[in-house]
Amino acid sequence: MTRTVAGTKMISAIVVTHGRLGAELVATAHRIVGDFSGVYSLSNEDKTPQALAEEIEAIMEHAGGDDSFILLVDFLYGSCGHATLAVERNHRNVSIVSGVNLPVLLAFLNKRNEVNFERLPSELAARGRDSIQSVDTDQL
Amino acid sequence: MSLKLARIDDRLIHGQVILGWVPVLKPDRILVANDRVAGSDWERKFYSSCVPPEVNVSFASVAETARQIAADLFQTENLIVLVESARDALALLAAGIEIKEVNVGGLHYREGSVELLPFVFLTADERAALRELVKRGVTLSAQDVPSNPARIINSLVV
Repeated sequence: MTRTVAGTKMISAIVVTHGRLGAELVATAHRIVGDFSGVYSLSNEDKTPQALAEEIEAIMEHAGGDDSFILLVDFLYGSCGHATLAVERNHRNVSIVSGVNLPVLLAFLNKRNEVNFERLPSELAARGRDSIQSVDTDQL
Repeated sequence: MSLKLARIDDRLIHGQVILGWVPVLKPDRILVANDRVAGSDWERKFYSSCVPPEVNVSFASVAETARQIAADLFQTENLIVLVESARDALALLAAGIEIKEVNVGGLHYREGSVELLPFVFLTADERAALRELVKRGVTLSAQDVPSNPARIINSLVV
């Protein structure tokens, strides 16, 4: 994936999910907001948690050491959670947000240039919580 | 102690175990027999957080797990025992734990491994360990979740 401004510090995201969920979330975000860079996806399919962690590390290395990374996980309690926690505990520039959905990914794209790395994870988690509601027409 | 399931799964505790097997088998305890996890604070915390509160969970090395079972520490409990490799399952048997059937639930791709089933990839060493389990009279039942059919793979590893 190409970088827009090479060598500039940025916040990247790696969407780590079961099956094709992450790849489809990223593809869907492209259809909604157009071109962007610094967002990657990985599936846990056919992988040990250790292999998945190695792939996360490889993406981070490839992206460049100056970046900070938000790891967006679909379901924390399993191999995606294990792999991302194994990476997070060894890096100061990595945070995890679980329960990724389309609003969370779109919020990441919106906010990553406005909100600093320390605050971004809690804002994304809040966006995810707000996005899930029981709705009917009376409440609109 | 009643051993409801002895499972080889390199993901140890994850969705297939908690959402698949636990509701069907209703174990009192999940016993993770793994040398690395037994010595890793964050992994013990992580795997504990995956387990619903009504199910006990404990972690010990493979050797210590064998000692605990032999000492009848879990006498009143229904157990799911999880190991991450066929080697570790074999070590439990070699330590004298009686296991008639081993569930092969997930051995994912590693360097040098060959696909046996979509969720079972075997290295030469893993295959040798499974073969040894068969020699000791164990039935190897490949099944990721209870709603999928089990497949006996004894003849595929010898």
